[in-house]
Amino acid sequence: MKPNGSASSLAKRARHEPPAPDEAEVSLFGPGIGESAVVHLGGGDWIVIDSCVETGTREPVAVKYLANLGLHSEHSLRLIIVSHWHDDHIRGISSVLQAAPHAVIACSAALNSDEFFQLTAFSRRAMTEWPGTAEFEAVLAILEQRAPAGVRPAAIGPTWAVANQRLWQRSATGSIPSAEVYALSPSAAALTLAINGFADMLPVAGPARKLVALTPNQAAVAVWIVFGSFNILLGSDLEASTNPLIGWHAIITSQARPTGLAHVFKVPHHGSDDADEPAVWTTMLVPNPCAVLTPFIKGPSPLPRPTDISRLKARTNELYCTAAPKGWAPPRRDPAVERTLRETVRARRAISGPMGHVRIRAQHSAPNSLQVDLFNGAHRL
Amino acid sequence: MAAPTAKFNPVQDARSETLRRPIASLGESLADQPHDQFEFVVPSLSPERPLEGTEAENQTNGIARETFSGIGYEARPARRILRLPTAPVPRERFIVLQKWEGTVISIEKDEFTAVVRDLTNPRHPEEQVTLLLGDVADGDRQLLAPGAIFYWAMGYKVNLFGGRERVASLRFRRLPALTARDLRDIRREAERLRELFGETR
Repeated sequence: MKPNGSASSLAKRARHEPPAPDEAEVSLFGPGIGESAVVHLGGGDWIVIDSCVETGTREPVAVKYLANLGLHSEHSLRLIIVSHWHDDHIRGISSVLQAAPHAVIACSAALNSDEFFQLTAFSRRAMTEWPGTAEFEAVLAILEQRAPAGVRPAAIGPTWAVANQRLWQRSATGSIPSAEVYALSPSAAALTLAINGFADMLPVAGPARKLVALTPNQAAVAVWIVFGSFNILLGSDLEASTNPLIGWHAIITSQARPTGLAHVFKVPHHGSDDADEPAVWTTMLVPNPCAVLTPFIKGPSPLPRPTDISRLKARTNELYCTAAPKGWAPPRRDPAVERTLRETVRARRAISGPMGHVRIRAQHSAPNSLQVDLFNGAHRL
Repeated sequence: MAAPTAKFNPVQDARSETLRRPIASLGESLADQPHDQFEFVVPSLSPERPLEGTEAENQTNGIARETFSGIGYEARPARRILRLPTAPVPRERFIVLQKWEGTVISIEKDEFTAVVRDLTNPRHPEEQVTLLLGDVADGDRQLLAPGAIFYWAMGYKVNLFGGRERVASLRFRRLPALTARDLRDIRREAERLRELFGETR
């Protein structure tokens, strides 16, 4: 299976042309920090998995993209999935929910714990902008506001996602095939580990501090999407483990997960080796699948590393990345500031750039014939 | 007969204790005087408040109607004393050209790495910077940890004589300590969220 066209002949279709009603689309966005997937499941039904925002405007890219296609999120978005609470996956998700009053929102069940509710309540005191818990708190506030009088807000969400749970489905109508969306994780064991991790982060009397994200991430929601005979696997940040009860290993060995092979794979955790499970490529994906990743240009060693790219390229010829994994030149400032920066800073780079966009479209009747379009610096690796 | 002119002298004329302090003489720079010696008196500007004495008495006492400082105010005994701010103490200034808020993400042997958000131009992208541990003030060292928040500013320090020096300021944020009451409030809010959204598994 190969996508249509080589890298040089990609991006032929107009960026703002919506897909046909019987055509699936997976759009993956990533500006360097953060990612968001926008998926069309035919018939004008769209789902969003995670959220990131445009540099400058801070507008969630999912809402902006649908608007650019001439679509209204209010009428198009059916499901919003918060795969986990980390800043780079949740920024702007409350704005997405606000724009989609009829959408169901699903979150990792790890967040449905006393420990995480305490972290959420603590976010008001974290005193820094945009911790993931604050965004999650905003989501809950919207749901609380939306709940009809006398109805417990839990009745409208969130759906607390666990492994092998179907989150959404639509029956076939006319030429449009049926569609289903499943959570493949977190497993029960991963939930326990995650909640124990949250307990370690709980605020204690004494100096307050910002919450620092835990690693490894075993409680993220990996997503399996079925559109007719076309399958999609979105790996979120779910990491691998030698423990057969958690991470990718638990998915591979699960007897309850949906069957089939995916044609499109969102590579987990920015291509890092600690999220790499070779069995995923042999048991859950078609040979030579279309694999897409987003970079994570933060920290001493940005992802993907060169070794990650080599490893992934050995598994598929069709590997794409939404943005360059090296970052960008920082903006120019006042000459006096620039001079002081040169004197005081050892290394410096912008970690968020143009909103790179990899778009894959497929007819459900020809799932092996993909159209890949690259925008805003997205490229083939 | 025209009223004899009299020089307005607030120290002699105004009936206020605040005027017992010396005032700078003409030709002396205010900056040359100890700042706490200055009190400025603005004569009553209220037309419905006449001078207390008769005009003859006032003239005898050296008080007369005249223009004060050429700005059209009548010189009259002070009825209301306005204490204007005392002259500021000359001191160094800091002209801020650029501000960031940073979050520490890792600490190495002699440096630390942080993500900084531009507070001067919020449209700029976040940046990752590596800074020297030696640039952290001694009093802030114990605050340096992953997740610690700091303010970073650059600009000019202007000395008393107008001389400029380029400087950078790095100050770590001291978040208010959580009290037992704060923790109770957090748990109470968490309990409320659980009752609204929680699902028993």
